[in-house]
Amino acid sequence: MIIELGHFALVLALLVAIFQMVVPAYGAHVRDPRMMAVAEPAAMCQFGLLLVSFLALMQAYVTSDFSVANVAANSHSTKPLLYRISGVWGNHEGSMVLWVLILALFGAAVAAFGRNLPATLKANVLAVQSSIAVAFILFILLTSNPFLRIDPAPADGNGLNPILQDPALAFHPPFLYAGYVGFSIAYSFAVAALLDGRIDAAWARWVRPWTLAAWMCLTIGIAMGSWWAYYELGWGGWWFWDPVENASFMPWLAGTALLHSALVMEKRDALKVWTVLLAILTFSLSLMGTFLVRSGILTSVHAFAVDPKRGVFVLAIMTLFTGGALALFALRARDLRQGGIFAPISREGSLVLNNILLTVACATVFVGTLYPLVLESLTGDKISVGPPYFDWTFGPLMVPLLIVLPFGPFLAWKRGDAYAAAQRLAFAAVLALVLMAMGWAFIHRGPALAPFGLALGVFVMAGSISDLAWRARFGSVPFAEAWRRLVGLPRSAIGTALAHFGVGMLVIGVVATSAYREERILVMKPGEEVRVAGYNLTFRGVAPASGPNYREEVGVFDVTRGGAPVARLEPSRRTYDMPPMPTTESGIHPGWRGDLYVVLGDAQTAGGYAVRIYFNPFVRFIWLGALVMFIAGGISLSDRRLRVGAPGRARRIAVAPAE
Amino acid sequence: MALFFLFAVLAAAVVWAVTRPLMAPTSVSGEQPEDNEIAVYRDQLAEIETERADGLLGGAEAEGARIELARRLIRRAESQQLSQRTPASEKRFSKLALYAAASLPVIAVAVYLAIGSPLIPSQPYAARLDTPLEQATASDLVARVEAHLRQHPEDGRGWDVLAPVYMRMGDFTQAADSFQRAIRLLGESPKRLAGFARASIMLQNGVVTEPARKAYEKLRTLEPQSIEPQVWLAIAREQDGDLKGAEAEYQRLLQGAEEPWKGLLTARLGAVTAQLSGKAPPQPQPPAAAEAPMSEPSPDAKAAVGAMSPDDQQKFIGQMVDGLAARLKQNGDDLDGWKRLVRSYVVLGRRDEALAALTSARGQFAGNESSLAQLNELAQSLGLGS
Repeated sequence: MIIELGHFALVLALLVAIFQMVVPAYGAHVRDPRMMAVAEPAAMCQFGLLLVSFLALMQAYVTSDFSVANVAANSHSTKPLLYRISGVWGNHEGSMVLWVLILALFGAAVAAFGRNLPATLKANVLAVQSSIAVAFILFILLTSNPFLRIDPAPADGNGLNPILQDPALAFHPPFLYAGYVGFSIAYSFAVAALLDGRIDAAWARWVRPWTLAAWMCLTIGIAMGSWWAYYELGWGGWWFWDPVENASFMPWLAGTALLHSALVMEKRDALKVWTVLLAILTFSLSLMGTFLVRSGILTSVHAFAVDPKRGVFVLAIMTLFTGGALALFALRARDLRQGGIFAPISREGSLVLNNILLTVACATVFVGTLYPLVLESLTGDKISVGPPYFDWTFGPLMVPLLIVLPFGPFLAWKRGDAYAAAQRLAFAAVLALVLMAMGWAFIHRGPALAPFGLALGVFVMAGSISDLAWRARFGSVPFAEAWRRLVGLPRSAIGTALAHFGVGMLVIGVVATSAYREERILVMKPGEEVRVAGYNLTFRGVAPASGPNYREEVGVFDVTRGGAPVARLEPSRRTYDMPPMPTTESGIHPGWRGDLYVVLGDAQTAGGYAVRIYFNPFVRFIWLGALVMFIAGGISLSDRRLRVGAPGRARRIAVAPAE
Repeated sequence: MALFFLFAVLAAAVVWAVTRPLMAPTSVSGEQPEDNEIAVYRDQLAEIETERADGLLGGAEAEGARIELARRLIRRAESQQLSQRTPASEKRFSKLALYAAASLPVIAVAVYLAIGSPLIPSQPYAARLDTPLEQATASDLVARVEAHLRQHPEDGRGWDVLAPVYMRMGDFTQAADSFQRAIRLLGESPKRLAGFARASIMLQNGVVTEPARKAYEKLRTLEPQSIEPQVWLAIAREQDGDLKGAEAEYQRLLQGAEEPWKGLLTARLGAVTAQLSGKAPPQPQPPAAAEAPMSEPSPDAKAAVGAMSPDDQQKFIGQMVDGLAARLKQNGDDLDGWKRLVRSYVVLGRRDEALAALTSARGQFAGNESSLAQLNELAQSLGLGS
């Protein structure tokens, strides 16, 4: 019964969404306050209904109700509770319900926190947001309805793909979706502003926190996916330039540019065209990501919905929303008054450069991802665009970006002083150059450019520390005074520095792992020992074991370093009961210096096992960097001056408590 | 009915919420837009002040920024005046919106009735295990035994019951595993040995594996007169490359072989002879699709199922079932065939076709009391009504 209630709630949500799309927009057009006011409760209802729907589906998963076709196809009664819950979004239909739920959540948040948004803007934003919901709920009901039933119910379900039964992956999709869908708010604001015909500082002030929140979720979502790929797929790699990874990376690049652009708009009333275009572009890329994954035109671990009909539907949605917004932009672009002139060397100038580099980088990823698909559909030739393409296009674009990045925060708005900024960065630059020279002098393996890459990372990290030190005036005022100033700095300034620090960490992790990774692939018999990166690994043998829904062979490796025991690694090969599929679980010894990574391979006919051992130096820096960026986003988001509506209201209450 | 009551509550809440602003007597929004604009600029002015105090901005720069903000404020106020339109009273459309909101539940129920299944109750796994035996469907029973065995994996009888069921469902992995457990717990019996061997062979695309060969050897000692182990041991010989030995065995077995085995033996013998005389390239493949006398169609084709992906498997089983249906359409005088077809449809979730097949079968056996009784019993056990 509950599941049917969920089905009904989804249908009702569609109707409410249509209502919310039409009435407030018309109300905004004719300036009727009552019709505009409908948007708020409608957004709340839409969210409530979708929540009922989602929880009903989750309840079916948790209780293993196999009379629901979607549960029977994707779950199994022996699955642990966590994966029965995450199984809801571990499949196409359920993940689309989560998608619209998050969409509605963002809409409801605008309705709830946007009490002092201009009324027409708010009505338009919620109407546009709702139009996206209409498209996607229709998509669910027409092509991928998770509420269809089977009677009689089959004995048990087909189970969830075992490689998806993993904690990191259980939470990867919700974050990723929160990121993708969060950009819909920026999109809705952009379209609403174009409809309304005006964009002002209040608009930018509103867009920024939403973009930041979406960007944070996307950052951590991508990092989780990468981390999962690292330890679960057993290849020892962390990023494969897989089209689906690129599909999430493109909105991230565009979203990062959008974030910086919105900042300029808020503070200086400039870069309006950039901001609006990037808002449209970012969400379009999110839709494209959805299209690539859902249409099944990609073969990938993610492509669990191989159905051309769905692909065509999402393609239509994408065309409609991207094309519609761009057409509107073309009509209204001349209304966007260019405000706030600035010199090329200024904070704005550096952010424009940042936008250009990020957008071009996004374009190279776009070409690398779509070119093979287009070529295949036109000529039938199958080509694969692999890491070399991205190394040679994306890499060189990142170099100027990283060199210029630390300068940005040191430049003043409107017109900056590059020479003064350079002086303030002298310490960071010298540190980086010394490290680079040491790298060339003492490291004799790996690519010659690697020390340069590492130095770039150090430069960015040291540059962001210099930024904070300069703002707090360490060195020119007494230490206690500087400390007080540091603590008192605006949180957005601290967030900026911290996020850039995270970028530096990520660069170091990426360069070190790619350039200096050690790899051994060999056959080992019990009792044998091998030496990798200063560690001695002794293979003790293989023992069978079993879990709730799998059986496994566990290899036991004792790791010592200089005679002292360090760890016991237990990589395993699992075979799941349902569906019967093998997976590898790698054994990882994490450390600051790097990860020791062991994968157990097949038993050899001549005795012994194939064993792959990797040492990935500084690989943790990649995800720690992303985590730091996530935290930095949170700090920046908590800045009072950005918090939605709060300062204005507090003041008004103080002045006129009767309101 | 409780379900529709919940629908009504949900719908009523929604209608109440969205119509409230439409029925509000006075305008809800005040003069907020300007307030917001000014608040932003005021904050920016304050920030300039803080930055100047912290020494992040020089006096002149701060002054410049302030002037610029002031300019923006003025510009803003001008455009505000231009864009300020008197709110048009749109009573007509407002009414229309009100009616539309009120009709939402009706449309929702109509759409829901078209696509939903209000009559199918929830069937949570735990509850299905508790339904009284008489009402349980076949898959409920399987679920129940599975759940029991998860708790008591040492209950050999459970595995013994479940193994042939898995076999019939085409789940050879589970079937082989269950037979093996039953053998370990209850000892060897001809039925279990044969079952294990069949499941293993199907799982391996018709290749007689070492465990399967051993099981058939044991079966041969237990039942020397049974032909099945002898045939498969001969095939094992052929697969091991002992063509001469296999040929001799096939020839010996063909004498007095009954129909189901005869076809398979003839086919194998032909293939082996051809190979021995050098006419055909050596055939590593398992026996070609012959009518083997296992409970279902060709063992080889079916054996491949185990190696397929779940999707393909589903498709294959579907094709197999369709084949059976076609055969029964031509020659319907096969009660067991009909029963198998109905059961397969139910397992595949194709309930309507199961009902159709049941009806055809009843028509076929009209007047035959015992067959009809069997069909009714089947229908009852599968929850297909009567």
